Amino acid sequence: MTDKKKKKLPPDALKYQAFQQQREVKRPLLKNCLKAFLVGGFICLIGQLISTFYIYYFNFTEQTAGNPTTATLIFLTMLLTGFGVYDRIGQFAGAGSAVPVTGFGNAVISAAIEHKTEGFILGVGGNIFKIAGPVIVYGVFSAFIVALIKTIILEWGGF
Amino acid sequence: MNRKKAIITVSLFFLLFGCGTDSNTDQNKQDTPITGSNKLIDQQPSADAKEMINKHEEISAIKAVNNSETIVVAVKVNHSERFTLKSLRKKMEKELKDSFPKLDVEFSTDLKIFLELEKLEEEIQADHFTEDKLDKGLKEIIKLSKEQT
Amino acid sequence: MLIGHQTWVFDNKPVILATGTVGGPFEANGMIPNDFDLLHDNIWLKQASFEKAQQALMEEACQIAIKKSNIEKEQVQFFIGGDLINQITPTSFAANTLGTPYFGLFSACATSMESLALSAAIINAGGANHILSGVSSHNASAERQFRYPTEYGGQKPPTAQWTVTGAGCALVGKEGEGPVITSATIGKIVDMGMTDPFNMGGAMAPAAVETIEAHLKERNIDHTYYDLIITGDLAQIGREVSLDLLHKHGIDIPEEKYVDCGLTIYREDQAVLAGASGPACSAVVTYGHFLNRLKQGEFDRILVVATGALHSPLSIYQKDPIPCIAHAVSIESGRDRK
Repeated sequence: MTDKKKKKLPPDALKYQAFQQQREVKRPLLKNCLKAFLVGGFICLIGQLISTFYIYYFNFTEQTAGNPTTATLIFLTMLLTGFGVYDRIGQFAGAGSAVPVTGFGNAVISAAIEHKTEGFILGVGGNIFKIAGPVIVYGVFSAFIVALIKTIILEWGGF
Repeated sequence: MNRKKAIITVSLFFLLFGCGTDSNTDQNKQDTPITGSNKLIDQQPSADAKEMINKHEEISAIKAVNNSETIVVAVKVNHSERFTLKSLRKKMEKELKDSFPKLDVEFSTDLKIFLELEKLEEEIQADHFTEDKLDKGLKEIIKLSKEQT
Repeated sequence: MLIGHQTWVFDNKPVILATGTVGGPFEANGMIPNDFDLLHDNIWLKQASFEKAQQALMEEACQIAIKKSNIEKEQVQFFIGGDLINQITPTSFAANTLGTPYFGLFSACATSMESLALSAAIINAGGANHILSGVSSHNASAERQFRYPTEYGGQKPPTAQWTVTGAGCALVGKEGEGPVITSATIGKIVDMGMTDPFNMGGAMAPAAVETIEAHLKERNIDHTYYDLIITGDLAQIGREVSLDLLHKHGIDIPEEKYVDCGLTIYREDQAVLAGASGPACSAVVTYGHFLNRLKQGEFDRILVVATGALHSPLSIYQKDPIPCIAHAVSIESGRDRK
């Protein structure tokens, strides 16, 4: 919580929060970073292997191999999510399994599985982007802003 | 806490820059024989290109094939130099274009193009290879290199 | 009946005639599988949804409680219960199956003791002869509503808790054999401005402290009156914080007398982080584990303090603090103390 908000709280609550904070188990930051680094790196290694496989055995270049590699990784994620393994990897690895494309796949697939009981239109259709939606919205939005800035600088900046 | 931070910084430093020195690149470079003249098609430009590009320290392997109009060159770049891939590519492409003003130069650092050129180079050595086949092969490789995602 | 501002003493001694406790596979692997009447090996319970599974858990717990007592279903006047799901639908559907008149409650994880206190109060006042009081929760349905989809690979902090899959039901009667409900203290909302839904133990701890303090003060007794003070689902952080707070307030409960249901139900190597939570947590552990031990004579007087975090996902997104509550019910063996 920000300091500004904290000022509104009664002194009792502030005192308690400080009291509680001392006993709260903190996230092991360094350990989590290391785990995320290793697992994230391992996922990227698998991605590189798949990519190299496509370059050697199919008609893909380094440029074009990206798409089938992503699709394969998401397919693997789908299996892991469906069999209930990915959330355990996620608890262990944190950002390591959330940041690569597999994390995005997991966010979409897990929502789809979860809301299947509400039907395919309002359940799956309405909720599939529940977690991944903000990523898409703000990804597109920030891309638009960056493109706008680039256009202004290049077109009217006189470079 | 400060000590902890220092340790992290130092270990990160080693982690990131520890693999910077690459000693066995020179041996790898020579595994491509710098020959290539064939009875049918003159591969002299390719041989020249190979010799020229090989001078660069950053390159670990090179393949080149040409016909009467085009020359296609593909290189493998040392892994530690891949950070400067873009400028390297630009530099070498310019060098090649200056050296072969009469030919269309296609330059690539893509692994797939490298592999395809390697295949084509081997095929050229075969006896029953024809000029048509060479043209067709090069055309396909150029088309592949132009593919975008 | 009423003493002080918020405490009831039940002079007519309502009796817990029988209890029914049902759990899921994760609970079967836990520390107290023998204290469950029924354990399922699948969280779906052969139902189409987790919510329906939760309803089935509730129904089974009620049926088991009735079966274990020697009264008929028709002799039960009311069913008082609740759960965590929006508009407490699983409990309402279960009440439909039971067919008894029904009070639906919501106090999150404190619902278990709220329903028991109300049942005892109604019976004590002569409003009924037999009341079923039960709660249920389901890990997957609670995860879906309050957190992320079950299979989503987000990392939870070490303060997070694991919602129990299960249901606990107590059949309270006017007379008969069994542990006696002697008093109850209804808690006030305590809001300390805590906003982290992944640290509910820390948010609920002051509520538990306040209720325990009020209970002891209004009944004019010492903590030594009880052999055991049981909290609902404070888990690791909440238990530690509340114990320290109690000590600070001059109530010197020794550590071994202050236990938490959220730390009793699972083994340490089950990845539940801080501990268990959910309405069923306090219900199954109290109605199963602790009442069994009480009946075996291990102790005579217990005070069960169920704590609840009364937030909704909406209130969390709107940056509101978590309002917390705790209800205490004292249960005694009815035996004479040595």
